[in-house]
Amino acid sequence: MSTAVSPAERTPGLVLSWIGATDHKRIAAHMAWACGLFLVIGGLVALTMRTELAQPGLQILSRDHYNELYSLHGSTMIYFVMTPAALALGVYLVPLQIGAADLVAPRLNLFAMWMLLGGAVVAFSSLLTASGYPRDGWTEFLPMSNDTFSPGTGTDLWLAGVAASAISAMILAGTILATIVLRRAPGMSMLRIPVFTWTMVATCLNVLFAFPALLGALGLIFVARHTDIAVNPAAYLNLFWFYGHPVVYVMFFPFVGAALEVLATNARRRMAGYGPFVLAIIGFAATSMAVWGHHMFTTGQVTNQYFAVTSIALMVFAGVEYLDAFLTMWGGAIVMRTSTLFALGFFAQFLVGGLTGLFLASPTLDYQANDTYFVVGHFHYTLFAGSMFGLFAGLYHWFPKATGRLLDERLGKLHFWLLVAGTNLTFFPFFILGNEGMVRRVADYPDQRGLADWNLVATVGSYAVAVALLVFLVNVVWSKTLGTAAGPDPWQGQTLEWWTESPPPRHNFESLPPIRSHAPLLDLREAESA
Amino acid sequence: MIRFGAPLFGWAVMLALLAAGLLAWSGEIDGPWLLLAASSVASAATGFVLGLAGPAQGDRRAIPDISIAPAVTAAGLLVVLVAFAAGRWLVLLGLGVMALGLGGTVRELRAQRRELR
Repeated sequence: MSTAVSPAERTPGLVLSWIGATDHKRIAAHMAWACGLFLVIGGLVALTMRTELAQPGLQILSRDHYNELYSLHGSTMIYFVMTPAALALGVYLVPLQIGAADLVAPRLNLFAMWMLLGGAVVAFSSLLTASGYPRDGWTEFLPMSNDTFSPGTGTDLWLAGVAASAISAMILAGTILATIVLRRAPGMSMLRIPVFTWTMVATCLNVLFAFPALLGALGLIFVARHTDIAVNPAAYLNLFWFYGHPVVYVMFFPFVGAALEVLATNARRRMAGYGPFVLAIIGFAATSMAVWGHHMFTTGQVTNQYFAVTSIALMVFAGVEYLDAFLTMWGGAIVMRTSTLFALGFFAQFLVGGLTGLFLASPTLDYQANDTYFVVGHFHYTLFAGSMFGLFAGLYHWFPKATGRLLDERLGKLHFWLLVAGTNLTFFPFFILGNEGMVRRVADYPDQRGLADWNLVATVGSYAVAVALLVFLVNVVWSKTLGTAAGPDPWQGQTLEWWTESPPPRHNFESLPPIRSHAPLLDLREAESA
Repeated sequence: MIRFGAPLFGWAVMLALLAAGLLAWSGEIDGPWLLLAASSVASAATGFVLGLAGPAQGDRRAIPDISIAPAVTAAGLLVVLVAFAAGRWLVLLGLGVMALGLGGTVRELRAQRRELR
């Protein structure tokens, strides 16, 4: 069952080390590869849907298959790509940034990784059932997901898979948060932990106290499907969105942290406004727990004024983060690396998602935009054109730390510009389509009001996104084997992970520098030059 | 204790304020504010537990680099979850596999304790 405890005595095989590695870095790497694979699946599904929508009429899919595909796309991206990717970044970086040897409870983290991977396999396996994949989107609203409207085992397997992913996320969030609170290096007070780690504190709080509601919501679907008890759809909506809005910030906060670290490093300056940032990120996370009702404005089941006020209040906290990013760059000697471009792209494109969110935070305007492509454009600007850019900023920045090799800059810049063109060509037309009244989650649309033209533009854009992601994949494969050696600190980093070797040894550090701020390596360089 | 649980206690206060705001605005005693209130209480309780745990750095070198038990436990729990879709008889199989995994973990923990002595 288990191996002996003296690690030096054995050299485990590849399969065994894949299955049972307890090192937080290996667990994060395995999660990252899995998320990459799921991204390819979710992306190919999106391309198929965009191909279908390029022209009015049904070309390659039936309505039923289209419904399966949009549910598969949304579920894959939310439950098995972006949420685990955000947590994987924390699993890898948090111990390194706070000077710890590992996360607390390494076996529990390994267990969580397998729950995620197994959960994905279970959810995907519903494609093999006679009833197929569920057809009600990643939200699986009741009563559509009950046994009358969604008979068969497909939805049950989806429930099991998503429950496994939620359990996995809560365990990982718990161990990351416990590590930050209990395992910081001597000298690293809570007000000296790096910016990225603070964003992980906010992320973990959201996961720990919002994700249990998802398990409750899944339980309601199960009850509705397998018992005679009548479930109130509004109760499901409240539980689901109590999870469903904070999860957006789970897929946002870590990438804000990554982008800010990238900007500070590449501007060769200490991050501006650290204290206000800490207050803002915690306030942001708390308030994000109290905005779920804006997804229910049109149901008449929530207090619209309260949720409109809390939703709009989020802009204050977001404003502090944007101001910090701007002030960090102001007067800095910015090096335009690929990671810098992605960080700037993240802040610019997320702004489009944030500002269009203001429309949806207003009940009056939401009645107009609800269930149209405007909403689809809004959340794709936040989650793909925004968060995915933050993720890439982090990947270009920390890839050398994880592998010991630099990613190729020319391929990186090609990847960036293709992705900028692709995301804007794909997602900006969604606002116009929504304004013209095109409803979401449909396989076909009327050939009028320019809907066909804008849909064609969006489809062309989606292929550009696919090419961009292919360039990134080529870059990773090429650079991992033939890339330039990185050394411990290729960027003149500011935080502790750049103190140790690349890739870091099993227990991360042989020694630690004195820690007097959130940027201890910058302190050392400033002391040397003084 | 307060020191180590402080972020959780601060978070709990914020959630409590937001819950109170929603209760005051909606006036529904059995309304959605209870979700926020429950999260606030859970957050404070988590802060209390973290505070009790206190800082720890010492046990790192005794952790095995490879442990198969967590993967076995996860497989068991996944079988239990799948049982709700594929047949309740799988629950027993899943629980058995979980017990195997948990047994392996206990064995490792005992070995770890011996190593530290």
